[in-house]
Amino acid sequence: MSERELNPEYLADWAEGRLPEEEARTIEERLEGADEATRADAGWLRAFFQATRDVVLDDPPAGQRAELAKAFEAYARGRRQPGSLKRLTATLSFGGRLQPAAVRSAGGAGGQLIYTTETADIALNVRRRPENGMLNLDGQIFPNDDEEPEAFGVQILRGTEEVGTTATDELGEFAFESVPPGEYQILVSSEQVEILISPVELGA
Amino acid sequence: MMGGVRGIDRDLILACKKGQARAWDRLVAKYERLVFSIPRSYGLSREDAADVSQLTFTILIQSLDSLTGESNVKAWLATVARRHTWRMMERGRREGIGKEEDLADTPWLHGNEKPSERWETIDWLDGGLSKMSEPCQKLLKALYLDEVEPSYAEISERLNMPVGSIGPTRARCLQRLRMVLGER
Repeated sequence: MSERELNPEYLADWAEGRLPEEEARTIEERLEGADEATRADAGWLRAFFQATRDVVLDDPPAGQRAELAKAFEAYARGRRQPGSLKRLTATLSFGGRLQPAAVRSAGGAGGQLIYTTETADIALNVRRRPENGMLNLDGQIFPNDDEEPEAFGVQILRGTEEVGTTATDELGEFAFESVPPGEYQILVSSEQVEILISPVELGA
Repeated sequence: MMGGVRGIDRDLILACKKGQARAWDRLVAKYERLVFSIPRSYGLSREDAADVSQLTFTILIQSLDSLTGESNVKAWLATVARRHTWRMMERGRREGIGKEEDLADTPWLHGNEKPSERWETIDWLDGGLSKMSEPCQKLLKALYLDEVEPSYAEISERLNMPVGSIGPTRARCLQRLRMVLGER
């Protein structure tokens, strides 16, 4: 058996149980003498396939979210304080090498965007990971008042799907690692304010 | 990649308690697949799973006032979904003549399953796949998480992908998934 046969594709065939018994046995013998990284690959694939056999991952019916929104509305009525949440859309004030999707994509090696609102300024930095083409996205939120900065939640959204969520630290900094290239909206929120950053094409 | 998840959940719960619909929408969007997949993983139909899912989130609404910022909402939802899944299965076992043989193979009836394992597996897979590119998500779900278990030819047609490229693409997607998920 050649080294090529222990490549990821072949190992996946083995771990899935697609190979004839004799061929699978040969691979197992070969794995005993393989390097640690190859054995780790094989072990992970086995664990992954076992996990997929144990569970079903399925999306609920399309109408369910609307039904639940109605149920929540009944709970929420009377609990809201009108005007307590301020919703803002951030304006791009400095594009550097990046600009919103409608204008230009944030591709190449990376760059910085600065957004402003009446409540806070937001800096976004994008860096491509050379080993796999994924992106590291980090940034910082600078509240415009002199008060102690509050914690913000930061979400990246693709359409309505939440791709990632994190929170700012005590310096207002946040980071996402290994974000697949694509077009994203970014939502920054606290108890008092929601700031929406319009779609940005990252890493195209 | 995703830090401070518990902190985000705390913020969402507190916002829900104030009646903020957007926070509720986000909470549902974040956990609806986990909650729905729990009864599906125990073999319930989509219709029954939808009932369990609806009930679980409805109980969450009813329980919002008693939840605190320290509550682990993900584990809470998984526990409620699992409990009502089991109730529905038990009801089905009592009502269904001739279904005992099928349920006899169900590990939980014999106490062989660690109760937390299945939802944590769902959460692990869902969390990893949600961070993959859309083509990889679609391919891996079709290959490994579709109960129909489509053939390569069917996947080729569904995803508009040559049959010959499914194997190599699958290997690349699995490598990326491993990077995202880390060791289990």
